[in-house]
Amino acid sequence: MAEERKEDWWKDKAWITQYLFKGEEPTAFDLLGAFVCNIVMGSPEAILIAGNMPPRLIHFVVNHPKRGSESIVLMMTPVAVFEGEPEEEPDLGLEIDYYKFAAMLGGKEDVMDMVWSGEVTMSGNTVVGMDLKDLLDASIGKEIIERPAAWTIGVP
Amino acid sequence: MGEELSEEERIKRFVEERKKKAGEERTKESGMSARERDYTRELYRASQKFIDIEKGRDIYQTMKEIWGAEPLYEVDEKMYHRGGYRQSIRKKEFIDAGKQIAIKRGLPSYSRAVGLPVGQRMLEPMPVGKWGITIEQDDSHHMNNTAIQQLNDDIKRTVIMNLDLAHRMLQVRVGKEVTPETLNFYMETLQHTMGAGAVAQEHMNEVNPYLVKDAWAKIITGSDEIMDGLDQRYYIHIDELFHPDRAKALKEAIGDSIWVVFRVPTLAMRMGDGECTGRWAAMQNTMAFISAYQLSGEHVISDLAYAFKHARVIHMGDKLWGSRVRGRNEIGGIPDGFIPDIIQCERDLPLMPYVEYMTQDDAAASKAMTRMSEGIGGIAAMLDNTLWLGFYMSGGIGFSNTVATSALSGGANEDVLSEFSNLGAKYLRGKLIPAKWDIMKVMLNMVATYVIETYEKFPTLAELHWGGAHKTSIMGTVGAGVSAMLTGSSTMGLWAGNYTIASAMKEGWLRTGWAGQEIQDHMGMPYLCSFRPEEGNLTEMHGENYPMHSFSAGHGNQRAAANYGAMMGRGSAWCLSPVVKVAFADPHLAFDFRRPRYCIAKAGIKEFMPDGERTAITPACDILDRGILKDTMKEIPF
Repeated sequence: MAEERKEDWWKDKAWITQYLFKGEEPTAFDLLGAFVCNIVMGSPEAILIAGNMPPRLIHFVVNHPKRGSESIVLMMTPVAVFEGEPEEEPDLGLEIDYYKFAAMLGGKEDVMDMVWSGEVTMSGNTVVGMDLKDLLDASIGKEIIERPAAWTIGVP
Repeated sequence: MGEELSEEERIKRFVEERKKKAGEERTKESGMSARERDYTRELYRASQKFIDIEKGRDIYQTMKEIWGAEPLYEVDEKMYHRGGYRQSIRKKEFIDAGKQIAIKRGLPSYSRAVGLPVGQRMLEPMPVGKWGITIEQDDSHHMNNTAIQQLNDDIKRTVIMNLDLAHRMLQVRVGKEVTPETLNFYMETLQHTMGAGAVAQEHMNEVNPYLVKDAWAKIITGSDEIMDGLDQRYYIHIDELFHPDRAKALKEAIGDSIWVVFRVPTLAMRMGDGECTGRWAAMQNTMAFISAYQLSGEHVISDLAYAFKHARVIHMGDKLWGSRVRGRNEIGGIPDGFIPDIIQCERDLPLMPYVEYMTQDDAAASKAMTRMSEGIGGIAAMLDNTLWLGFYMSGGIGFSNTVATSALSGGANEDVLSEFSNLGAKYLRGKLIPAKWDIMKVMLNMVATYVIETYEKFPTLAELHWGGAHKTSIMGTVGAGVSAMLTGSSTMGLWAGNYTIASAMKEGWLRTGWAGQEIQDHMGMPYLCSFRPEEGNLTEMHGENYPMHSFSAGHGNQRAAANYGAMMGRGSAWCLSPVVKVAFADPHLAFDFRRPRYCIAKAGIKEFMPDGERTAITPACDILDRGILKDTMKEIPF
């Protein structure tokens, strides 16, 4: 977290710079795009997990201390990332600080831990939160938490 | 005036705008079309893939056992073919008994001919808790179930008095010495006087000891030194009855104080009421003091009597309010915080917050959750639904009894709760949840969705918990219990119960059903933030007369779940009183407060022997002759 607050913090993050070479701090949309292209796509486990999920629409409201609020959408199965508000009710809404968002995508912070500690506000279908956690964990090579029987991977 | 642009710039801008618009349209179109297509076709197909997983759940097996049919199947093909009441052994027995009684007494009795003949559905058997005992629904009516009666009696016939003030009076004002020897002699005398044995042994009407064999008194103290000096029969052995960590905490809290818990005879309390308990105990305790310490005529006796009746006395229930007026020690007056102290289900578990159980393994977390359900289902549900609502408030058939039975049928509730424990153990990993609403709401939505989904997937579960009150009760209890267990906050627990019923359940099903009455739940959320006595206050201090709460059959358990869950969530050894907690660990009690549903199940199969029976003074005769106007009455001349 502290690492992300340093000046030009993103310039030594390969997963970001391989996707875009901007002089200024990337937007949340840039970060999510970089995460999908450079991390998720590079992980066979993450692709496999995402492929077993039903369609998910996740709406992030990312709050930057200077730039303000940014609204982005992640769709899983099929994958898509776009800016703005979703037109349909999202499966999951997450309101998160920009730097925590960057740390989460970079594998430094656990999304569920942040939810339970109150750092992230989550609303909607919690199973989608678990799906997102699985995707994040798989993409950085962490072991996936075995789901409870009734809410196993792929449950709508 | 518009901006002057060159031809080249205008074309460039036009191309850029077209590109931007096309990009937006493409993003929007591809996004939406993918979503719509997938949602209409995939979701229902996807849900079909998980039927095999549902069949692996414990609740599937429980439903199969209860119904003897496919739990996920929505059609009851045996409807109208079960033979109505004839499918129940108990109801057939009742019909035979009704006929016999009618013949014997010359007045009609139980007769199904006078009622509305429903009964095309299955009268399902009820597995109680997870003790492997199945009873019929009728067996859980409090009039048929001696264990539920004894639960009621054992609470109402208990009163606890402190001896420190009395001992000080003896030492300072009468100059008597209080030693282990005098204390043991006093306790021996007390066992005699509690059964209405006379100490001034002349011209006194005493009671047949067989009638009052359930009358006794025991010391409660936290001091090992005092206990060492006492006869082992006369005190409650905290170290043996509680987990060592709990015993340590309880002993520290009680300290060197000496309390005595009195058990007034069941029969005496039943003839009078709970208020008689304090009077009987104070009277007989004063007599024991007079005899053991050889007091006569001193003015200190009136002060002793005052101390035992009013000064440092713990009654199990407060006096009730005007419109429901009753004395102390009645079920409606029990403070909510005493119920977790009366419940003993957790007493052998290690003393630690629930989230720490989660760090150990799934089984430990599930065990703690199961114990909470055992206590809530076996004691709180009986006190509130069966006894208070179904007996004091309504009587007769006890319509709210059926709601209580949904809490008894642990196979269904605990399966859901243990699955949730499993979920929590995996995702929380021992982290204490801050008592913040935004966080708890996420958790509650998850739990409420889970329970709602389970009802929807299992038509048999929805049929088992057939009324709105049943489902409201389960939803509120699960919501309150889980939140309280995770946060250790009873206010958060009750808040969560309110939210689960009034918001989550209402949003999920658009109705809460009979006993929903969620207006109080809506009020509960803001009101619980207040500390004014008639609004929020400590939830442990609430009771049946707290104004801003729904007292429907669907709401009783959630109050107890919030308090008991919070106690376990905090890792506390007691809720409101360590003395009350120890008092109900007494192994001499007929009702086992550690295994309440086991007692109720045993009573359902007629294997529980209650106290307070009058066999010693009744004639040996056929059951049909008892209590019926008999020929003997005709022989008595007017």
